[in-house]
Amino acid sequence: MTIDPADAAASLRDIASVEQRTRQTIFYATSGWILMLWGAVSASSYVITEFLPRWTAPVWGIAWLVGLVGTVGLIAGRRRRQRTQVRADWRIVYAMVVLMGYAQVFIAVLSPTYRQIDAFQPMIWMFGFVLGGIWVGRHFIGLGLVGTCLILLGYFGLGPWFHLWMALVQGVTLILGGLGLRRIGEIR
Amino acid sequence: MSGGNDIIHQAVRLKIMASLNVLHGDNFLEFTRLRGLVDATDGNLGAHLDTLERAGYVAIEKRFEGKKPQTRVRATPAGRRAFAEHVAYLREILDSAP
Repeated sequence: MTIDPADAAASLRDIASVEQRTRQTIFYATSGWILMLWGAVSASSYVITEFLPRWTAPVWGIAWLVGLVGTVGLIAGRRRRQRTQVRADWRIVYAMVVLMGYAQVFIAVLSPTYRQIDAFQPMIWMFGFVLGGIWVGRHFIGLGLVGTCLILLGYFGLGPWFHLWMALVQGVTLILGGLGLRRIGEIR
Repeated sequence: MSGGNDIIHQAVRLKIMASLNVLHGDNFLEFTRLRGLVDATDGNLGAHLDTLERAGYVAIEKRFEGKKPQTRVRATPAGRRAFAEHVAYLREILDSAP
């Protein structure tokens, strides 16, 4: 068969494009599970701290630990099963650590109220989704923007119901978002 | 320079092999997922998968997930080899172009 250089270049571009889309699909599948985990963990934490405010610090400390260890476990398990070439997986964990670290630095510098912290920390995650979505896919941008709007709605409009609203927002946004991403990225 | 692969070079089949080649080992892609990734219709994708299966480049498995029938596809080792050789051939063409 004879292929001219223009045709060869076009074919290589097609290959690169499909490979990138396939990797994105696999990434969605992994991150869908992670979002569902964080949705469950953070929604439970908001409910617990609503009724046991004295336990706020240890509850959130345990929640973050469970979320982070669970994330590492999900990524490691999925990589072992699928042996895919998606290097972005571990970057999720690095990005989480960076976001968590910077959130703590901002809180230390700005000394916000507890209510402001409760709105700020999940918004940092949503900020991460929007920023990450610019690289990994538009679904994350949508998820981040919807999540941010819901947090702001609760913060400015729902007064004493804010904590329970946040439990609902974290549960619905992250768990449904995670289910949606899994549907997009199912690999069997 | 080794020759190109007529079966793989067709546009849709090239995309199918590129997508399946990203998955490692025995991992399958569901038919509907693959259809979206390569921008093909059901009939078109089915016909090209049939060609690739007859060449021994993909394995197709039909099964039931609950009560829903599911078709899933994976690249065979021979398919991965043929795809890698074809990509190398395409790169050689570009490298040797004036």
